[in-house]
This record gives sequence, structure tokens and C-alpha cells, in this order.
Amino acid sequence: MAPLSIDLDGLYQLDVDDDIWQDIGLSNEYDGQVTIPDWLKNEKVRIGIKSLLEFQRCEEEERRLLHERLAIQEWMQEEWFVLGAAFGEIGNLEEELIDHDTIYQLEERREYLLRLCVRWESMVRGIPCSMANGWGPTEEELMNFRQLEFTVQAIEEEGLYESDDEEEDLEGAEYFDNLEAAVLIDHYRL
Amino acid sequence: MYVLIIFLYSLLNGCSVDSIVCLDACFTQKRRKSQGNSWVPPRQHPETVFVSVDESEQMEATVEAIRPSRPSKASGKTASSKAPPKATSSAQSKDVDYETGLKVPKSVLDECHESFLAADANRVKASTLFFSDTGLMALLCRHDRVLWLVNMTSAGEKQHYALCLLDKLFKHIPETMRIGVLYDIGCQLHRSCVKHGFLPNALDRIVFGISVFHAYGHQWPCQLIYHPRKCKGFGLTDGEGCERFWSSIKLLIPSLRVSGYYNRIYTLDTQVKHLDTKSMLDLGLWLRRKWNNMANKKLEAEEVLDGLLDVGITREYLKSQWIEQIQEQTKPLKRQSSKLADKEIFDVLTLMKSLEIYEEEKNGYQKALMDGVYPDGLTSVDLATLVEDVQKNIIRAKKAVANKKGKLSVDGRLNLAKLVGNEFLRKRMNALALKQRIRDRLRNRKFELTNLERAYRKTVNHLKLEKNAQSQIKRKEPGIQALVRKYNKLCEELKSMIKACKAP
Repeated sequence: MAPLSIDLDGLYQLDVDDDIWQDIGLSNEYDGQVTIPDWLKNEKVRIGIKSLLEFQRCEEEERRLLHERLAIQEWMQEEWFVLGAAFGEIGNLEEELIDHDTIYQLEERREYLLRLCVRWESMVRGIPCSMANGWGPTEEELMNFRQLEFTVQAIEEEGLYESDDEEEDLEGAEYFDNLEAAVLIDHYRL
Repeated sequence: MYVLIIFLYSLLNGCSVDSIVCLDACFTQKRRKSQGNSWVPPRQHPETVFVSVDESEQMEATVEAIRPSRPSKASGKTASSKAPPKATSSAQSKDVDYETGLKVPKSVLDECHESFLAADANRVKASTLFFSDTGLMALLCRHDRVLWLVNMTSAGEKQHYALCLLDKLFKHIPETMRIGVLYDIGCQLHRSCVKHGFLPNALDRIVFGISVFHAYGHQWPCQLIYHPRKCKGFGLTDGEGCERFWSSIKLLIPSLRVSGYYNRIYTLDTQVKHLDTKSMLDLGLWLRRKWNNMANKKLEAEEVLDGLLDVGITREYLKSQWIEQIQEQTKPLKRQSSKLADKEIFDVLTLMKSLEIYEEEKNGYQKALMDGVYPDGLTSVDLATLVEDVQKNIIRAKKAVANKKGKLSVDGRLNLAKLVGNEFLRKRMNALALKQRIRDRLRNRKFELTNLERAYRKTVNHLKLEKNAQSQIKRKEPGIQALVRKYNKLCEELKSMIKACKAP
């Protein structure tokens, strides 16, 4: 069996699937043996094993992603339900018992959940899901929020390009960086 | 936090782990010793992700009690100088091959340990002399969200930090949940957990792996077992979330280096909080990206597999071949002993080669003496002394050869006999040695590069430094390339010899 030559292209990647790891045809293990196992001798089998493993990992990843996709929707539904229940409780209270701070917090939460929902839903649309019955908020609620978000974003983005000089004033600890740099330079000067 | 747990907790049928986390240490996030001695009021982020000092000290004490660290404060150098004799002794006594519960032979794990010690020794230099906090270790889930952090105060990467993070995790999850742990040196952590009984309540629920971009530092048999792309259950998780986290907090390096203890921790907590908020919004995007990536890869792999099916290679057959390959390539004794023997034989061969050269030299001089034709400017007396000198060398070399031969095992002697009479075998052995050297060189190069990539801040100084180091590494590359060319030439020669039926 002939040894494999090394391809200079991509050599420095040292990828797990590279032939550089294999000592095919270089050891005396199979000298004089008539049957050399296929995983060693047959290039097709070698490629096949790599693809098979890749395929298996992909299947696992797929299952995991589908599950995660389902999980975020379930979570959203539940959160939305809980929020609705909280609003319902407050609606049943008499006027003087209502705590407006709590209502403010709930409104904040509502907005946050809607924002997540709008962002998530549009992103994961391409991933199949066994659960069809919505994310919690109604289509109308989502629509309204989307419009609102869009306007707010447009305003925010205008102001976005004004201040960007954060990274300039970080020179304070230069001394210690230099110190470390000196050590490293020493190391590479050898 | 609870959304995280739900998201994390994907009880998957048919998967060997429910959830995957990654672990890594970072030595750029450190803090220099404070100048003053004034008392600083403690303060803590209400939702801190840091494991408390108590907990980490407790774990350190537990680890110390079970496995006392070596008296010489385990600096990289002493440890690595101690390890080699251990490795050879293990190779000599034949019954020590696997440690119970581990699939990778002991000798291989020793080699992995060596290579990481060497890499770590470079880092250890950032001493505790100037810094009181030397770095951070993080535990992240596969969605790159920080679960816990621990502040490190030791010079090197000590195991108890990793253990206390994992311990913390297992205290927070259901008792049936299984976790895949990806870590640069996952094999070593697994080994000490098994050996010393760390994490007794959780060990049977952990599957250890090594992170994808650090796998090159491991021996091949170790990669076979621990590489997440080769190991069941990890999907396409790469275990490099920590690396991404380090780079996202690298802008804090300078200011935190001179801040107070509590301030630093607080700032990091705030930053983690910010990253969490951001990543929460982008979970959908994350899913989509991963989904598309997976779909592409799956398609590619499927195409290859279908193509192979057409030539009669089924998936079942490939599966069985893979199992065979794992069994064969993780066999310890054959591998180790043949490797050692090869080295001995190699030495003998080199000695014999030089012996030949001496003999030739001697014959040349003697011929000159007999013929009476003295080469330029030499008298017969000169020649006689030269012959004597060479004769001495010959005797010395012969002795050495005999000595070395005597030390060879029976197999070794047989092998040697085969090799002496066979050019093909000799060439093949050279090629193997070359390939091993190339692998080592490549590995070292990668280690050096990652030292650079590791979150050093981009300042002018840094850029200069980077340039310098990169040119250093580049300068080594022709060496590697020359080795590869030499190796390839040998391969060609071997191939043509096989064609000419000169091979056994």
C-alpha cells in the first residue's frame, strides 16, 4: 500500500479530517498480511466514513435545532399567557387597589415580549415546527408592534452615527500592556 | 435566567446528551496588584454570574485533599521535566494500557498532556508577580451565553476552576440531565475525574469532548474519541463559544487591569448582562444561521453517501468500518511499543551508516598507503595516524551498535534484520519519522498563532508585536514546507518501488 503524499494547500489548517493525521502505508503493522481493512486501504471508504460522521452530526444538530425552535415558541406562548393572566387579575381589581407601578412594569414586559416575538418569528420561519398555533400575541398585536418598532428604529438609526469614539480613550493601562508585550517579544525573539 | 434553562433543557430522544456547554480559560482578563492598602467596600452585582470565592476555594481544597499538587508549585517546566520518565516507564510495563473507564490509552493521554503543558508554559509567564487576578474561566452554553464565570488567581490553568464551574452547573439542573462538556483539554479533565473521583454525583452524566479549534493539539487516538465531530451527541456544536465571549469583552482589558477587585467583577457582570440582552434578541437569528449551515452540510454529506451507495458501499458498512477503525487505532500496546522500537532501530541504522562511512574512509587511506600514491601533501606517517584514528572511531561505533542491538527486543532485532537488507523499509521508516515531525511542527505553529489570536488588544504596540511574531512564524514555514517536500519525495520513491514490486 502506497503512503499518502501531503498536499501543501490547507496544510496549516490541521483539520481533523486531514490526511496528515494518518500514517497510511508507513508502518509495518500490515506487512505480510493479505487483508488490509477497508477503512485503511480503500479511499472511498475513508471518504465515506468522514461523510457518514458528518451526516450523523447534522442529524443530531437538526433534532436539536428543531427542539430549540419549538422551545422558544412554547416559552413565548407561556410568557404571553402569564402576562395576560396578570393583566386580567388587575382588571378585576377595584380602582383604588390598582398599583400603577406594577402596570408600568407589565407594560414594559409586554413590549419586551412583543419585540422578541417579532424578531424571532421572522427569523425562524424557515425552520419547520410541529406547533402551528401561534406564538401568543395575536396577529394584530404583532402587526401594530411591528409598525411601531419600525418607526422607532428609523429614528434611532439617525442618531446612531454621531458618537463612535469610545475606543479612543482606553489608553490608561498602556504601561501594563507594554510590560506584557515585552515578555511576549522576548519569547519570540529566541 | 429561566428562559435559558428552558432553552437549554432540550430533552432529546436518541441523543446522548441533553445539553452542551463549553469551558475555557482566558489569561488576558487580569488585574494588577493594587498599590494602596486602603479598604474597599465590597459590592456585588445582584445577578452576578461569578462563582463565589468561597465555592472556588472549597473546590480547591477538595481537589488538594484528593490529589495534592506537587511541592514545586506546578510550574510548567518542572512538571514537564517530570513527566517524560513517567511516560516511558508506562510504556515499558506492559499491563498499563488503559485506565479504567477511559477509551483512550494512557500513553496517548500522556502525550496530549505534554503538548498542552508546553503550550501552557508559555502563558504561565504572565506571572502572579504583577497580577493578583490572573484571568477568568467561563462556562457557556452552546448558544454562547455565559452561564458562570470564575475569577482565577493562579498562574496556570488549574483544574479546580473547571471543576467548580461544572459543579455549579450540576447543582442547578435536574438530576437526570446529561451534559456534553467541550474543553481544550477535555480528555485530561475526564481522566482526572475518573482517576480521582471528582464530581461524583455528575460524572456518569457528562460526556467530555475537546473543542474543535483546539483538537489539533491532541494525539490522533484522542481525537477519535473526544472530537465533537467524531463523537456521538455533539451535533455541530464547536465549543468555541468561550473564544467568542473573550473577544467580545476584550475592550475591557485595559480598564479592568487597573481597577479594583469588586469593580472589575461588577463591570464584567454588567457586560455579561448586556451581552445576554443582545443575544436574547438574536436567538432567532442564531437558530436560522445554524439551521442553514446544518442544511447545507447535511446535503453535501448526503450527496457523497449516495454516490458511494451507487458503487455498493452502504452506510451500514461504513458504520462497521468506523467502529473497526476506532478499535484498531486506539490499541495501546502495539502503537506505543512499535513507536519506541522504531526509534531504537532508527538509532542503530544511523550508527551503522556512519560505520560504513568510516570503513570506506579507512579503506581509502589503506589503499593509498599500499599504492604509495599519497594524496596532496600527506606523508605515509600522516596516513598511518589517520588510519589509526578512523580505526578507533570504527571500534567505538561498533561497540555502540552492539550495545544498542543488545537492548532491542526480539521483535526489534527481527525488524532490524529486515530493515538492513531492505531499502524500501528503510525509506518507509524515514517517511514516518518525517511525517511525525511535520505534525509536531504544525502543531507548535498553531499553538504560537493562537497565542497571538487570543484576545490581545489592538494597540499600536500590539500590532507591532503581532507583526514581529507573525514574521517569526512565517520564517519557520519554509522549514515545514521543506520537510513536506522531502516527505513527498520519499512517498514518490516508495510508490515507484511498490510499482516495481520491490516492496515486501
